[in-house]
Amino acid sequence: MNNKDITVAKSNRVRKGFDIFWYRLFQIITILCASVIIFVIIFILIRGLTPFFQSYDIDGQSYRVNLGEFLIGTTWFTSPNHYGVGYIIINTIYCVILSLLIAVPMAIFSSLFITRIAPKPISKFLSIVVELLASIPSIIYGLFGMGYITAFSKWVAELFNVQTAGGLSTLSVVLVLAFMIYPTITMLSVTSINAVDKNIINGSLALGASKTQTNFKVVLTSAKNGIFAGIILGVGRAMGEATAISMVSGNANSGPTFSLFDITNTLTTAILRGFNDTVGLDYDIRFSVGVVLILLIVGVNIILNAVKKRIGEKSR
Amino acid sequence: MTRTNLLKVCACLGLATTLVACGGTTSSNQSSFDSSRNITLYTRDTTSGTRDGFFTGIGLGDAKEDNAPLKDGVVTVDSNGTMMNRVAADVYGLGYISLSTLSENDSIKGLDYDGVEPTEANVLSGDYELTRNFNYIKCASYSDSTKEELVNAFIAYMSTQEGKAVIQSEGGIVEIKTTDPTWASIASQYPAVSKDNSSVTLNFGGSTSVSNTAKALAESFEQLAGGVKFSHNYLGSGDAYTKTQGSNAGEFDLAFASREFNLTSSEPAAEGTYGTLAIDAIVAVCNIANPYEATDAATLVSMYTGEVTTWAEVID
Repeated sequence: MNNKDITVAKSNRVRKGFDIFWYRLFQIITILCASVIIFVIIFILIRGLTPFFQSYDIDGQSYRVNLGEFLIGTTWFTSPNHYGVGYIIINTIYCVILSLLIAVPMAIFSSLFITRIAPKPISKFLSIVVELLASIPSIIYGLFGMGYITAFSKWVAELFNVQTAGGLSTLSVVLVLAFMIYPTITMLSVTSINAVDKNIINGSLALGASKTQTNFKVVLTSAKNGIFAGIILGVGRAMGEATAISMVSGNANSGPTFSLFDITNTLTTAILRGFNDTVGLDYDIRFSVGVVLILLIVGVNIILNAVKKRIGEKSR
Repeated sequence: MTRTNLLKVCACLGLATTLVACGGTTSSNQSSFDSSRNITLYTRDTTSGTRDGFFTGIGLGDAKEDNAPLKDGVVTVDSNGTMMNRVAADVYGLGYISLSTLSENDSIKGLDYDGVEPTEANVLSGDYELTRNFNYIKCASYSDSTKEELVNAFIAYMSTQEGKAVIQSEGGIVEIKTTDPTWASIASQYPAVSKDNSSVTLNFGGSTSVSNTAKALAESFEQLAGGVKFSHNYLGSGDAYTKTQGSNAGEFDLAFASREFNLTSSEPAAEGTYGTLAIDAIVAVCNIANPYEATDAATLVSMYTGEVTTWAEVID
């Protein structure tokens, strides 16, 4: 009897020790992962700010980059030390907004179709298709963009009797981005629409609202937080996309570009272009563009979250 | 209900396929050429040695550093292959590539330069003048006699039949003559190569344009010279003189430049320490559908600076 008590106490102690061990392990892993992100940001910040404070030796003379000129510049590079990303920031925002205008309505309508309108087998099939689309790597979208979307843009431009650089254009960038973010937004919308309380929907139908009225006025308004989360993720993906865009943008050296059929440039393609072959200031300046990109994404996320909050409060 | 919906989905898929097919046909439909259209200019980014060679060759040397002398809206691509694909996809495109890759794409054609057709024979005979030399430079003196002998053996190897074959396989233009020595016939002049050199490391560096050729040569030389090791560090032609005979002399044992050395002013290399290993020819290219056939330096300059904007102005 006494012996058994001791064993129980012992095993309890062992179990407690076990708990503490796992608790510590998870804590350490979490701290490690979180600190990696912090290290990345600190590293990019230090490298990215160097060109504005440290002088670089170019052809025997030392130069540094002017920060103000860098932020509002309308030409990427003028020898020896003038860089500008102002027009690229505008191009990036412009392309992302246009792609959202295409992708968001499409995503909302298709998620409504998948969850509310389509019969079970079709809805199941379509959600699998959307999930597959979301998992396609961006380089594939780039190849598709180079092969077909540029040809399509060229064809559209010919309809308007405008000349394009073989289809490399803002339109191609916008279409590729729209294709890429559409599945992300659709998937999150589907999830959030599925989570809408069935009683609310039945209530609406019982009060005599038609199916369409219910879908738009009740389902969508209840699911809008989830849809908005999808949009935020989509914006992040669109802004951070480099490979696919660099294949269809044409890498405009100056700007900004507002015409749909002119070549353009985004922050990510500016980082990518010629990165493997360059050294010194021209290399380090890419980190500065990276800092601008991080700040832009953080800023846009803050704004979108604020908007999301306001919309949420309004409906309440 | 289910059946009609299934039909709708099928119809949608069918429509999508038609759309994609349309995109496909527009891309191949390039036979029509309207000479009143604008010339779309394509250029490599500023880190490219081909860009340097091209603009220096046509007398627009300012444009090798940045895009300021060039027309606005010039499309920047970041590799030889992309350049070919873009000009192949754009009937109104004008670009420039390395001669060695011209035959890889049959949708583009090389333009005659100063009345001379771009062929390897014309480059070797000196008639085709839009070329640049790939040069090597060694140190004026070596502290280690084994290293010195191995470098000399390597230089000799570059002009043997085997060495030239390697250079050719990497796209360099050299003429393999039957009178050229084989490696077997000259190896005995360099006794160091028959020893075990696996502990010796030769430091190579210089131009990025020559790096592939130099690496391939080094790889094939390794087995011929007692397993000598190589360390490759290619950052630009500027390093070639500086790190062999200039301010950082001795950092490289052998270095390469994709341009001529500035013998009279900043790069007074010692007599007999430098030479040419291969020639690289640059070809102005346009789409196969373009009737434009021959060009010259002045015309290329006027096209790239925007003085001439439509194809009609240069096609007679």
